[in-house]
Amino acid sequence: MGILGSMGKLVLGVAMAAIIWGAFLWARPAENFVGESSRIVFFHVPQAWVASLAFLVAAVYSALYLRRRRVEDDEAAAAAARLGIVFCILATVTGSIFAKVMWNAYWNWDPRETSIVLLLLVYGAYLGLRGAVEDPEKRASLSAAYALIAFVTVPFLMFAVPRMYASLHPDTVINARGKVEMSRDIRLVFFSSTAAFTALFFWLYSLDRRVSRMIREANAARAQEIAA
Amino acid sequence: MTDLSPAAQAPAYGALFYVAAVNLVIWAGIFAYLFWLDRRVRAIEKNHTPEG
Repeated sequence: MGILGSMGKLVLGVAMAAIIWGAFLWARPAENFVGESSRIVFFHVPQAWVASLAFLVAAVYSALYLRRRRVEDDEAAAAAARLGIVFCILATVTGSIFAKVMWNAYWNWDPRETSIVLLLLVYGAYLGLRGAVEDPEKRASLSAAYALIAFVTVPFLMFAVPRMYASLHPDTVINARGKVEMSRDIRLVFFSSTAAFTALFFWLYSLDRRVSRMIREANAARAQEIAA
Repeated sequence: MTDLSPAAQAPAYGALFYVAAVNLVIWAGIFAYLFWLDRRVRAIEKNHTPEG
């Protein structure tokens, strides 16, 4: 059984459908945006949030691996990093669509766009490292150390860089005045979407871990058969 | 002259209605696949768990 029960998964399915309906047909578009472009915030920001969360989970399990040397921790870190990259790519694509509507170009090398590309490269290298080392123990140790160092760049690239340089990117959800300035309908859909994307991440994460465990057990059984 | 084309009879939401509909269909597909995959993984886990 995964993190969410069957009922929890069905609730997530219905909730996400309601969020999609609310995002496009119920919430009003925000002011100071071209046309309906502000509606992308209901998907783009939760995706970026889930990517940060996934990289944090990868770092925590990497630290646990270095401490306990359990193969399960290595698998957990790898699963979180894989999903983090998927959500990071989704956030990049949705951001790029927003850029086309707002600034008439899919890509502007804005500080926010540049920093997300760097983040993708950093975690792409993590997957490259895992693929390049054959010895499982060496791979786990090296990638755990790398994931910890890589996570240091996440707050810097996702939160610090875009605030250090002038950017075309709209105000962050918690703005410079430390407030969430959204109308009631936008706030409701936005935070529901953030919660639903977080639940979706944990569902995917639990699936990935369960499949990884089955593959490990199948490999161990095969090795035993060969040895016998 | 009255426009009787399907587009003219669509709800007043205009293009957003179609965007929402396409997104809902995509989500329904992803959700159905994930739910199916989850049940398959659970069935395999049950078969491989030693009893007692």
